Amino acid sequence: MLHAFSLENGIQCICESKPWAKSVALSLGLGMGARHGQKPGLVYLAMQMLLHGTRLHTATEIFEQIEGVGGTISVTVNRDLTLIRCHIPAPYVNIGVKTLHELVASPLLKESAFEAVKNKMVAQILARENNGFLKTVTVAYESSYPHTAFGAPILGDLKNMPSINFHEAKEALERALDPSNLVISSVGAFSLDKYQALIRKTFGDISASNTAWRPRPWNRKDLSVKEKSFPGYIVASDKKAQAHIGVSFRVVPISDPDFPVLLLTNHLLTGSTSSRLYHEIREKRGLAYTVYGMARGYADTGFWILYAGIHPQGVTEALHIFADQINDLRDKLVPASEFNYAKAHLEGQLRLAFELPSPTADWLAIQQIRRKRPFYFQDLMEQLLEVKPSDIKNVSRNMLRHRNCNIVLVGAVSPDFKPPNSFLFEKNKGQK
Amino acid sequence: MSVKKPDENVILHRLNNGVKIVVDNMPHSESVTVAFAFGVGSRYETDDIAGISHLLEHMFFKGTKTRSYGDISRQFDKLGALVNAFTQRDMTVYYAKAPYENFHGLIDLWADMLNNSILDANEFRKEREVVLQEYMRYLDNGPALAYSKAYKACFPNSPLGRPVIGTESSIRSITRDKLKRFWDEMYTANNLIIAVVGRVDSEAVISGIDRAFGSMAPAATARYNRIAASGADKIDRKSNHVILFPDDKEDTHIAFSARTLSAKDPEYASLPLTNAMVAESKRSPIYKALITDRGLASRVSSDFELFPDTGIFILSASVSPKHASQSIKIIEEILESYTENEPSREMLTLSKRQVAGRLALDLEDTFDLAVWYIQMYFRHQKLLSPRSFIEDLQGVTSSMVYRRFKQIFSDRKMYLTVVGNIPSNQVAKITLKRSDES
Repeated sequence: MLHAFSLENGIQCICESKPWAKSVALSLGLGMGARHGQKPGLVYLAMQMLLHGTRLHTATEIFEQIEGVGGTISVTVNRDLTLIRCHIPAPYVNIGVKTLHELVASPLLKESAFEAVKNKMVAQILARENNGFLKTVTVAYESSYPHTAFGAPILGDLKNMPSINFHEAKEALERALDPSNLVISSVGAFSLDKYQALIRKTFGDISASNTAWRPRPWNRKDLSVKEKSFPGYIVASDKKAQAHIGVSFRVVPISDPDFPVLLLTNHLLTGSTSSRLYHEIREKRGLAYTVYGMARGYADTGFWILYAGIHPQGVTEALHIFADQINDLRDKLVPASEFNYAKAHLEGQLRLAFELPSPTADWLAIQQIRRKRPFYFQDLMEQLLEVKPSDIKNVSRNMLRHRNCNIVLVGAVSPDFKPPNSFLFEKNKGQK
Repeated sequence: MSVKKPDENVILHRLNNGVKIVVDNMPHSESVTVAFAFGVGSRYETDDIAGISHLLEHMFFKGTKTRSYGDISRQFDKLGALVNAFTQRDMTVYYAKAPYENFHGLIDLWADMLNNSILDANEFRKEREVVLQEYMRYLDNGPALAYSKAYKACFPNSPLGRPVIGTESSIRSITRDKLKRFWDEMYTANNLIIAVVGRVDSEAVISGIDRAFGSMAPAATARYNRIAASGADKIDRKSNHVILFPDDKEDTHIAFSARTLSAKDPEYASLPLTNAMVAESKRSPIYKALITDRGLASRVSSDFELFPDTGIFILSASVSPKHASQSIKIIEEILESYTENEPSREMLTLSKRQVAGRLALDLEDTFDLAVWYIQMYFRHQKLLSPRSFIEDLQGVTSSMVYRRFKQIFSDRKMYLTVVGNIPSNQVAKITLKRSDES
């Protein structure tokens, strides 16, 4: 049972009661993410300070409140939003609600904690560089949205880190915590009426600030790609054992009618063991262990990456396969049987994911922030039901263009490596 | 056939051929998870076939007498199933999680795969390359590598100390014939346990599995060499307890490890509490000192694994290279402090609530609960329901946990492994105070 409501101070709330569950998952969403920072890494750094104590409790006391009853608490920063996530056994839900309230209503924001957070971010940046998949995705975003805050790494980079100072992080956080920027999503074992009353009572006291941060209206120039040849192409060689391939595209925003088509297209290519890229790269040729695809829709744009961790000698062959499969989707109608299997699988996976409180709470908060309205699992299922094979072909022709494509190679690849010409889609129109 | 009910909604059933079935009916669930576990893993392997359990796991997806690889994949897709498998040191688990109404379809497919796979020679050659890529990915994964080296430090002369995936040369030396022999020897009815968790009818589950697996042959399976408390497997306490594996990674991964008690020990439930107090959570003194107060590490965690004959405790962290020796000293001092006094009653109560609460969260998922039953069965050699485990947990005293602290963190039993970027100016500073005293 789902219910959406607003508090008088502007906080948006979404609740889903799952009476059989043993837990409650709370996702407190802030409409500020990495792209809204003045410097790369600034928002990430500011948000991490939320878990470094409040005016009422130290960081360790807060962890003890939640973890001491078996719960978890964390902060996740995305490009366009931040989630403060708490998952807690149902009998202790009051503790979870009160703790989240304390984090946003009474943050401490102390300068001594700031240095520790900065140090931790340096360690996290090194860990990201060491992870072939994360590094590939990071470089692919930068390559698809060059010289923009949207494309910059969420964690920032080692070069910029020293220039971030405490006061700018503090200011960003204080402005982000205005009730007009908050969404509370709760899923789990509670009675809807009682829980709604608890949320109203607990979060109703947060007052709006005059200096509240507001996301700027969308300006498409922010995402304008500077002049460059296409497909964009970046090699970031290092001493990893594997080569990592990322083929990425800028795609439609989350509310665009084509976005569910894109989700299904991604599933056809990478969503299961029968998907095209998985089959061609891994099963047929044994070139990779990991083949993966990720489509992300934001309020104003979208990003899609196809990824494989490859044997260093197999990079050219794998790139040809990527290109062939993309061309095939552009040129031919997906056979009905293949389409139906992929659709059934995606629907099954979504049903499984939304069974559990934690992923559901995160998803509902993210949808509210990006779509500016409640959007439920059932809404997505209805959209997917409408998708037809011809939609896949049309969307592929519109979005999978070489002027929209970026290829990233990370790890065990020669810096002089050149991609094959098979990535020049729309051959009859010539290449820039 | 025999039936036991160790818990209200849980049934343990044994088919005539020895296949064990656990059914936990969760009437409100949207999903069902079916997990098939054979009691075989890397500790059953000899050096020359290291990794064969894992490679065989991959091959069961590659086609049967009546279904090609593509047929299998598409049928799982049609069922909306999340399908995968994993190999551990002592078990290999195959599973599928799907909308509950598709239960019988899952059983039919898995029965065909596990009984009628053809281990096609061409598919085998390709899949071995896939596994080699998985091995390369493992080499690039600093935390996994440090974890694996920690095992090696604690069990240097045993297959238990080897990486589950094997080595590049052992994977390359595995042939299709070796694979077939291993399958025949280890995949027997009495070595199989099937866990079904979700919205199901228990009787229909048992009769469906009986039809699909009732004719599987029972046979004596190979056994692993038990980890001895003394003799060839004894840890050499005189050797250096600090082991360095420098490579080209950006960051540094450290792991403290020590052998501990086995799953069959009456005090086994003291281990989860030890873990909860040490570094499983952000409230721990090690997390506070390393991350909250100083930001020296990107992650810190602790974990343990219990087997029927031994156990291991591992505390690991990923740190900036320049902070490696400082981080190690901080951790070592905190670990040493655990050996000074018994944990307080308040700390014990808090940790019990933490472990029980976390278990409730984790076991909401039909997949996690199915894997729980399987692991408990192989390791404790009996069906341990979550409720029985909580009862065992409540019986743990402060002195039992204190014995774990002293057993793991003192008496020079602990090993330190360091993997990744180790700057030359850090090498000399990386020491373990107590192990270097002699």
